[in-house]
Amino acid sequence: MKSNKTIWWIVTGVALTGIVGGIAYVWYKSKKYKDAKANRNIQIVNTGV
Amino acid sequence: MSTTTIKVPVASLQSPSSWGSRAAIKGQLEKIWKNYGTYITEASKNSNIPKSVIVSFISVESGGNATAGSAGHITQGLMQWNRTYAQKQLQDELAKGRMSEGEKVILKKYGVLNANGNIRAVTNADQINPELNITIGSIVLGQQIDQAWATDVNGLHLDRVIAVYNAGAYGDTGKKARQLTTPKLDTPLALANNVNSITSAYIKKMLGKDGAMDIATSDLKSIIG
Repeated sequence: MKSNKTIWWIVTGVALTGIVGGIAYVWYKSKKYKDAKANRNIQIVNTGV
Repeated sequence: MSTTTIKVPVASLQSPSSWGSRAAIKGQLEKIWKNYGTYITEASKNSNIPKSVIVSFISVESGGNATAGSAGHITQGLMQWNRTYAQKQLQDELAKGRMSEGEKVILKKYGVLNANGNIRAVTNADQINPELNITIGSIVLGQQIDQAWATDVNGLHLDRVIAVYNAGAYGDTGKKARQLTTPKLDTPLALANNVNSITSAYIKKMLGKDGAMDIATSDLKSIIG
């Protein structure tokens, strides 16, 4: 049976991983949206169909 | 650099004959280009949205009439965007570091962006100013182009952007365009055939055979590009 301290560390570890992951995800999405305009390269091809 | 290719016209989509013949639409696009080509070129450079896309939106939205719509209406002007939301949309563009220097210069020129870096409320006079209307319209359009729902493994879906630009993001049509319905309407043809008649016609006018983008990128390729 795990001690209360071990359980505390597991719960804290999972929670911290979630928080860090969440922050990283928000940062990534924000940067992706920020850069999307400057990196935009839309080519229009007329196929004549 | 993220490259995406849009093929026009979309197979099986036909611009409505009630909108005008190919010759008539060509004439309208030529007139828009003659009157506002300088501003469209500027907006295209500032937003990285092709000139043919911007001129086509203007064609469908207003026919190139800078005061199109009822006098004082919240969507009056060339690209028919809603001034109720424009201040917030511009603030977002600025706050998220997306606004290009060229756009800042134009917004400052007309006092929409002030020396303190604040965006003021957008007025009806701003809307019927062609340079501002096209600048703000291309920013609003670009914000939709960069949403996750606008792109899939096949690249950018302009049909989805058109539908949301025309009908908004949250109604029945907007949900269909954002691929939130089952089955998903993940082709231009499927979306055009399953949304309200006005939006359906809009998609066909933009992307269909003899539509604005077809003509802008073929008959008028040498002048619009």
